[in-house]
Amino acid sequence: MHDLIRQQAVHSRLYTDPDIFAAERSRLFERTWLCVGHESLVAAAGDFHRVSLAGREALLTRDAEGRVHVLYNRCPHRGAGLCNKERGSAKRLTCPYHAWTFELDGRLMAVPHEDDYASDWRLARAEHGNVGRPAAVALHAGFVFARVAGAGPDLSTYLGGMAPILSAFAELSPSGRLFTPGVAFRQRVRANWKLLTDNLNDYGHGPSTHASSVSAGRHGTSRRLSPTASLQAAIMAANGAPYADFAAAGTGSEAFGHSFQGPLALGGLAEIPELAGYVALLRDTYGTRAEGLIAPDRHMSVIYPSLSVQIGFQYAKILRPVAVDLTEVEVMLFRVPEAPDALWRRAVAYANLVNSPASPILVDDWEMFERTQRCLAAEPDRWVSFARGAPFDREEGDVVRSIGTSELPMRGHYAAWAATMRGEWPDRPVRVNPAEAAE
Amino acid sequence: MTLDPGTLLAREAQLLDDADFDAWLALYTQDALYHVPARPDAGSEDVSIVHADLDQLGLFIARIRSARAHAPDQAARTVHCVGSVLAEPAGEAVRVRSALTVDEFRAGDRFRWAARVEHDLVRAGETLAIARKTVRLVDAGAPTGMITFLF
Repeated sequence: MHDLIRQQAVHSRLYTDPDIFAAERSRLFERTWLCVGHESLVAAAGDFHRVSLAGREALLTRDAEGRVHVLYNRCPHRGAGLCNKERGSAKRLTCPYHAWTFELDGRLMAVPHEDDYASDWRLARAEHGNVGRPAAVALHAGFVFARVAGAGPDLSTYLGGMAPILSAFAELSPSGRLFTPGVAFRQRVRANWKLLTDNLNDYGHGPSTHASSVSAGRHGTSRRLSPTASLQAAIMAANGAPYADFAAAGTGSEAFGHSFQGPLALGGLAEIPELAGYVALLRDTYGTRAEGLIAPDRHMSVIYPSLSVQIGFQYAKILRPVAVDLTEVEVMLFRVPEAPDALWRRAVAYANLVNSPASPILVDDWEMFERTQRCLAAEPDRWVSFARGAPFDREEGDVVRSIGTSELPMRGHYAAWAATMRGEWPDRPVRVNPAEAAE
Repeated sequence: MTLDPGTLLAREAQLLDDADFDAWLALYTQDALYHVPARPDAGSEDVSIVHADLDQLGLFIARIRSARAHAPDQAARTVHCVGSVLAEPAGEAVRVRSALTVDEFRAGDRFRWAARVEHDLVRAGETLAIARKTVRLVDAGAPTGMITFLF
């Protein structure tokens, strides 16, 4: 399998072969940490929320003691789904099929007419009567991660340099009350999941892929528009920034395939008059560190392979591979209770523009994903190139950095992909080829 | 020309299918709101599939025009079908509820969309104008494919 990965190219079959997708499920998705949601989805004791883990139906729950759990949405009796609603609150989980009941932590409470069972069955009820759960569950800064099977690095080792990024996200609320009202958007993309991860930190595609919205945005910025339209026109136009701006923004790759890109000039919180009090609160609370929240030094951070976050506009995206040619994306927006409504309205305006299924920006990426999925197989034995920017890759401690337009993030993703598929842990950043290093 | 609500909705549907966006926008009041909620229970302050004033609709249309000019093979062809139109007075305005299905042909595939729609119509001189349109997709909240047209 790993002979399908070179340092600067991957084989087309990676995107189109159902056998590779099946292998990814067992060797990658079931073995690595995946984000399933945020603990604020189950804010109160008794709350449950349906989620997905490596293609499996699962539940995020909060028990009576306030602990968060990830359970499989499968009754241990005959396999029926325990919860059919997207979310809710309950004193206990009751299977609708034969009425077995469970605590929110998955422990079997009662089996109706348990006398029908033999006494040795009843003695061993905890063995076959509790709701199943993944091998490991851990939280960082409110984000809930789970690993289906096996042993492996703990969550903080896996997150590495991304742990402080998620912590900073949570710190947008100095009192620790950052929350999401629920899943905002669900996209259904008819393309392999890797075509989406290839795009997350790709500053090389803006002016061409997004030509239509850049043109519309420029047209808009030359007129007097409503405040929301004006913000949206500026964001649309930003994809048409000069090449040098994208290159200067920089990009980075870390252990486990995590990656990021530097910021575009989309403006920080300090430029919004209604947020002056909130900005002052952040500065009072965090000192100089607050500037990283007010004008984040990263555009998009990718916690490979399942999560990406953009702190500057308070959202997170979870990738859910469904089939070799089908991927779902869940977008969650976050609210800061301490901040005025202007912060939420700005996040909503941005999300409506870039993450909605009708987004005038996203639909052009989406079209590229689906078109690529259709056309890759035209030459099934050719390779897909990620060589761009390689001469500029340089190691800086635990991070490899490159120019913003580099395909370094993808090289990092695939190095981690190959190592994980081989059964190793990609606990070092992608190798920089010294022969190709820039002068 | 005086339009009854049913005729206005039919005209709106045909203008969208004709991609006559200038005439379509002219059906709306200057302060109109066009809203496609992202979830069945969502309000105006929540995230939306589309939540647009006339300026934002102008950006949306400018992108569609630019995309049609550059990649006509990717532009959506649509048939909007309006039914079950029921108009009721609501103060100075008329509240019109209807059912909408859109058959879309794009990139070699056909897609079907369905929604319950509310229009708030106000008198504008001799005729009626749309002050608010809310499109409640039957599958709002479920995973959705891309939307490159206007409902």
